[in-house]
Amino acid sequence: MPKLKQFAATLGLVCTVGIAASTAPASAGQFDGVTVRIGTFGGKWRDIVDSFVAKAFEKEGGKIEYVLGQPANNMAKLIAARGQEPPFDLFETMDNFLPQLGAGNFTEPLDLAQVPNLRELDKSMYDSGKVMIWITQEGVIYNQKKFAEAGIPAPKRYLDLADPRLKGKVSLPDISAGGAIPAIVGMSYEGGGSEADIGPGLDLVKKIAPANFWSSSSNLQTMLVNGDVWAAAAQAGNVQRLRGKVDLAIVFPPVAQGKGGVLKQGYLVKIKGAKNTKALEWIINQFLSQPMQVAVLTEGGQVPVHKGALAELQTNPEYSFLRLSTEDFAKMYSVDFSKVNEAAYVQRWNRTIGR
Amino acid sequence: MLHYRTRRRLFSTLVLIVAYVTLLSPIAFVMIASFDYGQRAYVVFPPDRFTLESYWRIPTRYWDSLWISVRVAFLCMLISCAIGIPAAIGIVRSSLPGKAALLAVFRAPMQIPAVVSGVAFLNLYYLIGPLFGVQLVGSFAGMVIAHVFAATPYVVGTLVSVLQRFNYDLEEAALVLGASRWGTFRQVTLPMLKPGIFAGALYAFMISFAEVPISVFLAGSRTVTFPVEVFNSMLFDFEPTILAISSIVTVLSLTLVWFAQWAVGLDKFVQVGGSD
Repeated sequence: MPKLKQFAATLGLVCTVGIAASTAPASAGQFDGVTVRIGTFGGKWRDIVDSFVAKAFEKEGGKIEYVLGQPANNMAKLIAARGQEPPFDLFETMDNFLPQLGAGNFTEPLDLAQVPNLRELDKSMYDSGKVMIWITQEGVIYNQKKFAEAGIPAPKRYLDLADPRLKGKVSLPDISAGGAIPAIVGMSYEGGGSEADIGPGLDLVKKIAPANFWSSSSNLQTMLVNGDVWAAAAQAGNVQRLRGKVDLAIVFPPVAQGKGGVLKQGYLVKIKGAKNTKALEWIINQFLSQPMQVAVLTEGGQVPVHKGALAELQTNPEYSFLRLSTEDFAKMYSVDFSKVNEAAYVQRWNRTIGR
Repeated sequence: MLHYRTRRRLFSTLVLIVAYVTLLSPIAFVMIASFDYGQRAYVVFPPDRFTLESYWRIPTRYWDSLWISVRVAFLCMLISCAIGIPAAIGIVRSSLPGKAALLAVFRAPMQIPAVVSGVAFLNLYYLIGPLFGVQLVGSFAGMVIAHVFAATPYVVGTLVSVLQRFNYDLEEAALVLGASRWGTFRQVTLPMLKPGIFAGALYAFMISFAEVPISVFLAGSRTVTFPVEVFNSMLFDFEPTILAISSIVTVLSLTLVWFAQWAVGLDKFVQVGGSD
């Protein structure tokens, strides 16, 4: 009888523990109830961030909300909110907005020790104010088949696009397009100018006399597929996206300081007044995780900055047209945005190139 | 040699065909291209193969934003009518001094570039937020208010044009025949104004539903409207699902117009601004 009582007591205890365990909340994550707002791009990029960053953050109990828009739009929101609660905590921006962010005192330093994946980045890619998460490689893309058929040699510099045989077949970025500044700066250096003197670049644009000015990647890609355009100043991601449809290649024209091609860089910055610093640093670290960084290229069309991801992608011949090492990145030109006056660029463009 | 009338008719038909093709070809282009899903970076026309794959793959973010847009547009339509109808009646029928100036004020939002309005609302919301303790940026209410600003001039404008052609003798006749003021308004005035009200409401809905330049500044994490979602997607990269969801929205819009025609007679809208 005592054995029966003992058995019943044990059974009761096991059942109680079992029921309690099954009805208890899931194990507490380190960011339970924390919501982080990220100002970032929309569309496919948001899906990538959702899959590789937000889902992992959710497992820790947190939640990511997106404030979508181009960096210029999100910058406007940030300026309007000056002195109040910022519209987002973490801002994904591009290199051209960094001087404005700094001058406006919009950002706060990060504790880099909390972002262990930074050891996978070259030291030039981050500091306490910003962390690079992707780059694009800007140069001249061209249709190899059409060039061969027309007997035109592969371009080596921007001026080669002025070849009379390419009349009506060249597209350059419109001043409003994302690739405009790298192309203008690249052409300016080729013509003897610089970021501070874009006159020679605009002269080169006039000399090339493009058939049109592309305003978005999809706009350019449609023209390339249709054969309306054979060459364009644009980023390398176009080669990847049109693989199998158009036989594209990219060349990186010499720019300055012995470097060729222009890098455009995407950064994450912590916005002043943002709460939950630990969560922000955790998210930045997740942006720099190898799976996310691989997806930056395989799904997003940009180039990762994580050494492990770069090494993984180097083995894939599909991406041989890209420069996939930090040593190669160092051979490409980064625009000095402290010398870029975008408003003046637009004014000069409108006066010189017009519509 | 064809008769003059035959030539005129042929010419009119030709102009009509050109006009229809010009107006409808972009829609037809999108709808046909939406049946291709062989790639993700650019539009293929005509499709290499016909498939419904892009329809099956429409991300939930498009449906979510579509639902937000419908709710914002519907609420905007109601509020714009609530403001615009009495305003139009008051402007046309009262003896207020400076009516022309008042009408100009109501029309002003149409003359301000929408991007400027967007930035202005963004700054205004941040300015009044701390004063009243409300956060309108990124909120549903903030989005609706800004859309009402953009849509109300269309309600006022449409109704003013109807009221300016209104035959007041009919109201007088009803009053002489013993109808009360309310009865006259309900049975004479309102039916005469109905086409203008419906047209204004439809305009308000459409203006709000398609609005981008203001919304792009005011959208928060939970208030991304459909056109803003598509706009942001297109700026990052083209996806074939954009064509699919756009085709669905087009079909839904046509169904709505067809329903309006069936329910209230769309031809009445056409009478607005027409001859007496």
